[in-house]
Amino acid sequence: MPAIARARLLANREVAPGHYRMDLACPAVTEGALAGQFCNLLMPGWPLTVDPLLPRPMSYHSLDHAAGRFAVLFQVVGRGTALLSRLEPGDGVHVVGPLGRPFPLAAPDPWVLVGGGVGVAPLLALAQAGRARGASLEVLVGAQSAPRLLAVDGFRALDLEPRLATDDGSAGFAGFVTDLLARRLADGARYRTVFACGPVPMLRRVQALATDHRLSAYLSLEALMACGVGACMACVRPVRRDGEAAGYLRLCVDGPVVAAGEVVFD
Amino acid sequence: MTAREVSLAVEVGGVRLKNPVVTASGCAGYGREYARFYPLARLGAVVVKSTTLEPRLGNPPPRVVETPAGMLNSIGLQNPGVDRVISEEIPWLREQGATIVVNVAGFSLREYAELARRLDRVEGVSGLELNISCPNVERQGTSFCTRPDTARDVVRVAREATGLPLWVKLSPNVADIGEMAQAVAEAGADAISLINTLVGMAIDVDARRPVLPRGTGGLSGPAIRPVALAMVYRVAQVVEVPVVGMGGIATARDALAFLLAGASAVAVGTASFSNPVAAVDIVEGIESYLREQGFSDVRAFVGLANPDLRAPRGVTPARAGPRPGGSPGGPAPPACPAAETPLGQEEGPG
Repeated sequence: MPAIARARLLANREVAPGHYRMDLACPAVTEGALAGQFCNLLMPGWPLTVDPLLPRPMSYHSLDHAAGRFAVLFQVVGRGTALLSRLEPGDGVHVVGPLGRPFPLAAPDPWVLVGGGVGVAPLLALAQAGRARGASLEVLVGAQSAPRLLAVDGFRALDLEPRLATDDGSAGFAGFVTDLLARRLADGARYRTVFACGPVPMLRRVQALATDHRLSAYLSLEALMACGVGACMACVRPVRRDGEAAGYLRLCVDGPVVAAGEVVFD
Repeated sequence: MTAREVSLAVEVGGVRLKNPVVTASGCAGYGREYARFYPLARLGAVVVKSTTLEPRLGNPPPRVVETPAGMLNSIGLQNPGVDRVISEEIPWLREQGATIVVNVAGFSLREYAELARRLDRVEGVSGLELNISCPNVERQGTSFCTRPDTARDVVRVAREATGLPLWVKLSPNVADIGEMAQAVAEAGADAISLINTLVGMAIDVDARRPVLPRGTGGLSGPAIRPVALAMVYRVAQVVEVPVVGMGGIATARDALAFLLAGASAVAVGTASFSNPVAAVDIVEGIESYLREQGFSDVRAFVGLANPDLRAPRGVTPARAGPRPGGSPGGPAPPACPAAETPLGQEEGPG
């Protein structure tokens, strides 16, 4: 049952150029939240201000259920995220959550978590949950360049050493994170489940690799959303079941985590 | 200041509402999503998403784009079709204790008639709302809502097919909203709801094309509220049926402004996207405001800012003949406001 509550902002740090990690205290929207789910951050000034109007959906990046705290990781892409980036510790933010479907934690391990750019956001929470249930897991983090690699310290805090990939070769593997995944698979890495989040071309490649290597794969997808609760039908994505077109999924309630085999990217 | 009861019940074109706040069609699906946030029975009614004769897949994404103080949508009437709505959604809504108004959309007069016929004796349906903003496939895709004669035809065929109360939802994308209101009232509308969304567009400058695949979409949200308010005010002066006001209502004060303009009830739509409990907040806000101001009945508040009001104040005028759908009744509204408090405050940003 999602809650609507006012969260207290604990920290809002620019962790890479144009990327912010916001830490919030809000037991009501942390309780019961699972990795892969998201929350709607309402615009600063809500409900008195109406511009920008719509909530900004954000994956849980880190979850601390005992402390009633969570974090989100976001890139400034427009007015709404710019306003959120300027909030300071002590400010209040209204949040609706938890929303959406989580990653399936019962998926067989070893897992490999593949994040591209800000798509790494939900994977840290997944790594936390995986650690808690004793799953064997490996993390691949990709970005354009070394300064844009996100959440690396967060994974290290879980005693995980993420394998890095940068498009320009400034850190780790030189190339896309999906090239790194292909290399790991070719080298005999024995994964059973892939979890991925990132830009569409990256997810399409993960989908293909998972098919080729007969791995279970779950993708966390993004879409423009309005309500975030399933009512408005805005955030749809075409899907196929058993190889046939099966209409649209609402990513806010039928996702954002979707089995890779169901997703149609074209 | 007294703690006495404020009567919020209104009757809108034969549909009895326990309070004057309903969901705006298309913004609350069939109620299931918001039932996770509040009991649907708290509202005057749930006006469900536009329902068509056949199931509809809807438009390809992206389907929405945010605009200043509002949003454009191009959902494409995605819905499971009337038969599944009757077999699955309406029984569930009845279990929730909700008052149900089914919004229907047709692409020909035959479809409107068939929709009205299929819903006519469905248990739990208190009324229909006709979405007349769809393209008429028999007339080169011109919307029914753009001309008085085609709008009148829709109401007439629906009227012949059902005894249920008919609310007719008007589009603001017309030259003379008063003329449209008169046309549908003459054709048998029991109430008029307005406004539907305004036609709008957003263009992605870098991509050099419209953001929405179909080019235009429907503008909703606070950006359209002044337009909606002016149209409600106008329509309430020219018809003798009740008006349901909507368009950017986000707070109780917004809703109160529509009641003052002459709406007997209001619908809350886009506001629910940023505040899932907006509609319930508005019910509570209306009640507390009226109590503070010394009103014992919301119907005495309707139209107070509109000296030339013709629309009834939250009641249905007596009509000849029995109505299968709802029964007029309830106490007559007081002839004058229960309080002398001047209502001079502007609606503002709070």
